[in-house]
Amino acid sequence: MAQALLNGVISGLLIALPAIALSLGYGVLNFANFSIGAMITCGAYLAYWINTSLGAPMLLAAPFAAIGLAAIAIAIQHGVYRKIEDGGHVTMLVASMGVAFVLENAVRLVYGADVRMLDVPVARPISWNGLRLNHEQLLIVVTASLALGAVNLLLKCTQIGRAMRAIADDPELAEVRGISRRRTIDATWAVSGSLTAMAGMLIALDGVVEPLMGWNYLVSIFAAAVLGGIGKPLGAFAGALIIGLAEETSALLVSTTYRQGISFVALILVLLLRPQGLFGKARIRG
Amino acid sequence: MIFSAERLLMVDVSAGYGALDIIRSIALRMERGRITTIAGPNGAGKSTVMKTLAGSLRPRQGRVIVGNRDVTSLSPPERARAGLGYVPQERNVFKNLTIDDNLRIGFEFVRPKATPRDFIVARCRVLELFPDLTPRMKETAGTLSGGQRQMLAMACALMPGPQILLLDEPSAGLSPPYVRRMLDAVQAVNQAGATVVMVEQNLVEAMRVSNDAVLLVAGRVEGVWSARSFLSDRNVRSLFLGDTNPDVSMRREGASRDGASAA
Amino acid sequence: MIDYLIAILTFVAVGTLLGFALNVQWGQAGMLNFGLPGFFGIGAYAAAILSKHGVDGFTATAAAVALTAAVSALVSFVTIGLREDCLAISTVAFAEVVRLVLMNETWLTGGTNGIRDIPRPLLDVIGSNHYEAAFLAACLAIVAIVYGLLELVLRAPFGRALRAAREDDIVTATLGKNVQVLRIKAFVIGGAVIGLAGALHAFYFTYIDPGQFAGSVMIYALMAVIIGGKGSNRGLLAGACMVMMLLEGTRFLKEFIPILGSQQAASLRLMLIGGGLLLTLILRPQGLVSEYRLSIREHADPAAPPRREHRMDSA
Repeated sequence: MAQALLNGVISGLLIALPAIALSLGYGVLNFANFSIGAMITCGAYLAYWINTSLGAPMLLAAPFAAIGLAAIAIAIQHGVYRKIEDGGHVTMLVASMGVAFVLENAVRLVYGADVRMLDVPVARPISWNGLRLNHEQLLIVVTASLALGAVNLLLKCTQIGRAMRAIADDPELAEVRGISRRRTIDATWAVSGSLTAMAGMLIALDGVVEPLMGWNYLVSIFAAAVLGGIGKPLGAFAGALIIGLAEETSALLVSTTYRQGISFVALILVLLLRPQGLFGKARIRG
Repeated sequence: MIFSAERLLMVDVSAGYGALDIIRSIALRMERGRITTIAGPNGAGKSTVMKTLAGSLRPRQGRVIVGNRDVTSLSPPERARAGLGYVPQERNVFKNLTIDDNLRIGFEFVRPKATPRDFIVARCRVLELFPDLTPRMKETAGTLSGGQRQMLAMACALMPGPQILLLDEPSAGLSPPYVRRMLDAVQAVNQAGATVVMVEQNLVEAMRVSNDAVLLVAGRVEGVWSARSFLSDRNVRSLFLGDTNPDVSMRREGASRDGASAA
Repeated sequence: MIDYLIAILTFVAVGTLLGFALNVQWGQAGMLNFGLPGFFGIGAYAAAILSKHGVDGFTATAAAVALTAAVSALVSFVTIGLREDCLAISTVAFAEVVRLVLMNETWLTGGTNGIRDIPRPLLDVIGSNHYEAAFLAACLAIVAIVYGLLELVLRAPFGRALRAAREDDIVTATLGKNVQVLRIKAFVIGGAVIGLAGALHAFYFTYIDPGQFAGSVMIYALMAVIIGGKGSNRGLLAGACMVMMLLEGTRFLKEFIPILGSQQAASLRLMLIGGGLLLTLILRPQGLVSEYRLSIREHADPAAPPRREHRMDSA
């Protein structure tokens, strides 16, 4: 049971990264980004490429992969989303489905559908008080915590973070107060790209690299973000922990393949009973 | 607190939403350092004028000039940086952010090159005008009362030291003591050097502090009066006819006038 | 060559049915069913499993339709009242669960290996020589019938009420129409058509596996609906056919770009399909044949007051 809880926390920390990216994107851009799973996959493959083809160790590959995905995300924003944003948030949502499709198949085009592994040294798992933890999981805990701390700092204390929160609160007023919508949106995509790339790499480190790796987390990510109150990035963190714990502890009762089923149920329950999420206050509206 | 005022011109401005113009061929000259109130019945287009000045609404024709600079093609953020401070009628604070954050945001994007010290100085000046806000810096703006929110909204617009302050119904929904305080603040801001243009329904209070009054009816400027004579002018009252919410105090004033000449 | 043409047309026919279904659910009723592939899979697997257990083709098809309709009723009942984007998320999640079930409940579905040798209905009567052609003829007939029925339904008061609800459900509710029931009905109708398409798919290919009911089905359907002009079935016929012809044509890619392996050609094709969807959204989101309406999607009017849209977080 304790092992399940530990796994749950780790799983939660992992999901928190893309969940926050999703929530942040929803707050600033006002649409649900269905390509979040594909972005994870893309980030992992970028890292894979830098790691195996260019021979860089993961420690070096990681920041470059994050920057790379951030750049790709901004490019997609300018190439696709910016051109259709007048069409409303449903159009953007449909577009993000299209983007996801293109990204996943781009990855398949280059690398095929087989499973690949990152080039990292293998290490023995750590044992502690009867709980098992392998190095990759430890890495997840450390990296995710640092990343989440950084995002928190960004949002609360920096100018660009305030700009993101302002636009999420009231886009028209934000413009009147001098905030550049374009630049803030680009910054949001950069943050999203970095977070999802990190998630992709962590998933890859603890497992494999394959074209559906991100898609497999899609439901969990959405459930986490909605549970935390979509549009509230810091709530997404809490939501992710809960989802992670729920999925791992349910593995004691239900087969692990239906992990996403648990998230599905959680998602539906939240949407029906408390759409603003557990931690979102009913947003104070004018 | 020193601002450097600028004049504001509207040259043959027509604007509206979609196919119909709400305001037509507006020509206004608001000289620097003066307070101008735009008055008129409901639906006259007063908010539209404000939005056109602030940049939220692009005019179909005409120009908006600040000082000597044509700002018509500038977006709202650019207009803010060109010296136009704007307090919209509703949704004028970030309700989910703290007062501190609101004030910071009001400042940092309009004055991107300012130092932290500049910010502190600006905040001190603004809080002198609105001391109620000082003990509440860490509170979320949405939890403030209506009057406090209006004050915060104005404080945010004042933070970067605008040359021209645009106020859309600053006293809307406020209790009488707050109305006084708001308009006293407007007067103080003007005395420190800012040009002020405001839309106000509460005409008695508005005229107390204003220099000039513009009457807007059905999207057109019917005339400009001095604030002192505006309320007692017979023409004004007849042009206002059809207003479903006549200002009660205006009627009372007119009734007791008894033929005394305009100042 | 003829065989290839027959194959394309059959594929297009099945896709058209899916397009009709999405048109009813989304185009007419405003419910963005991103879980379409999942319902498609349910229909196909139902028909396949029953068929393999000796049930005749027609009954199996009817059962597939009924089952998919029933599941649609359940899903739409649970998600009733959710906004478009919340519904999209929920249906995607539902389709994922369906996919997981299809992949893992090997005793029922054959797992990732799928189901082979699905008996085709009336095979012994028609004979295998002309079966494909006859099947195509049947599909086209079915498309025509479904088109006719849907047009009838959508021109009737039901359809008008549905479209009214799509535009403004509060007003429609005050007029006495039960908006939620309308929507469930529309979703079920769509679901039934999807189930039908699934059965046809199973009988045509005689082999199904979970991978066939994945993203590309959704993209096709979305493209067909959007190009055809959301809500218009007539436009969909034009749009769907155009789209699918185009896309099936890209199967020839491999011949022109010999360096591509078949896996890569397939991925490139799918990328082009996704790209096609994006291009459609960027260049012509209102489609080729727009539904007659008084206000078509507003184009950006810089002078217009910015729209404030519903957000999921304000309940």
